[in-house]
Amino acid sequence: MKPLAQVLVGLVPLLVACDNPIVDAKIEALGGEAADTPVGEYHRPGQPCVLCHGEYYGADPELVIGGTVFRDRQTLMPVENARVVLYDAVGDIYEMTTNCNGNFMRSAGERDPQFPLYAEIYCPVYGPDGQPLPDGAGGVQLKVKAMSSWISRDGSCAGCHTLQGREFDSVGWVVCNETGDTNPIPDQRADCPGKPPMTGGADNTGQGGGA
Amino acid sequence: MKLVRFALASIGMGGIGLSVASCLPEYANNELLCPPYEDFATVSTLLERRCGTLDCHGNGARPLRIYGQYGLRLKPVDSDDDTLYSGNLERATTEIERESNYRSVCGLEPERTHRLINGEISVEELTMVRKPRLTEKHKGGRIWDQGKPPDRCLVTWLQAQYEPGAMDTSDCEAAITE
Repeated sequence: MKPLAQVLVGLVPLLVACDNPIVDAKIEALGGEAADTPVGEYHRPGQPCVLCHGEYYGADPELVIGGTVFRDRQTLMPVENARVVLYDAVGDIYEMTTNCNGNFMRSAGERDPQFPLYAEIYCPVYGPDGQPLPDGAGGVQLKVKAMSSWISRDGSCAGCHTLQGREFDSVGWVVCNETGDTNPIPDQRADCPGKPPMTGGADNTGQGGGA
Repeated sequence: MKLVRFALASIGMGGIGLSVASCLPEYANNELLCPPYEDFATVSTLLERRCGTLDCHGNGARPLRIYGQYGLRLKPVDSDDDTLYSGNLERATTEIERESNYRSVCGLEPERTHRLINGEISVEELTMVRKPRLTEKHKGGRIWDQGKPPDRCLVTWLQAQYEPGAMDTSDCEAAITE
């Protein structure tokens, strides 16, 4: 082998040795994909999206924000059509809507929110018949929930709102209904391609997406 | 300092390095100054809100760990208090959490903080002041601008030019409610 080639080969371990063991451990702890949910916009609800879909790990698409909205603190039933509104540090407003597995996300692009961010969730209000209540203007009644603190730098909502629930280091998963709220948000529709956390899956660790 | 003194004694007992040890200064326990704790409460509230979210300094893996009701809670090991969870606004920051925040701030650059209070350096030399202004690299970016209420709140407290317990907290209160 020529000297130059030897040098280049010798550099390879250095180039691949820039891993972050802390982030790697967090990603590994998420477990495998759920068997009942295809990889894509519905997968891994309640997991910290940007851990993988960020600059470091590079999963496609790259996301700047991602999270999941659940019905309440007793179940991990997702909420569809909740509007997530972010207000960023330079006054821009970003809106996302949850899919049938409760997931919402924003891909990295030409206009990314500037941290810190302030967040509100507009949850659809349902009647006893399981149908959304009209707002009288052609839309649906929405109930707003606002964060009490700002988001400083983590685009993964589940980085703080973990599936372990309320703990000394977790605010608990993002919900529409707090204890005592009576908004009868229905169960997930059966034809949703994704399934909520802790419904079975690859290793049934309850870490989200069935995984 | 105890570790240093112990190391020197060991060298001496071994009969080696006596001449080296004799060239070293006499070490003593140092008492380092920090601004009064009596005036820290509103400063702590400011830090809890602006720095202590779970994704920043409300995180056990980061320096300048900040506890509080908006972020990381300090739950004693033997505690069964189930109200001490992050984001519980009905459970105000506890005294032990505030004391821990005080230790975090005082322990960030203890020698420099001591020298500031002794009038030997200016407040701009503290990383605690420079980082939120982004005059020093800060992963969290600019948190506040120099001369604005949150900056004045922190600087006033750090400079400690008041009687303990008598700091003017108007800037801190303005910063907390803005």
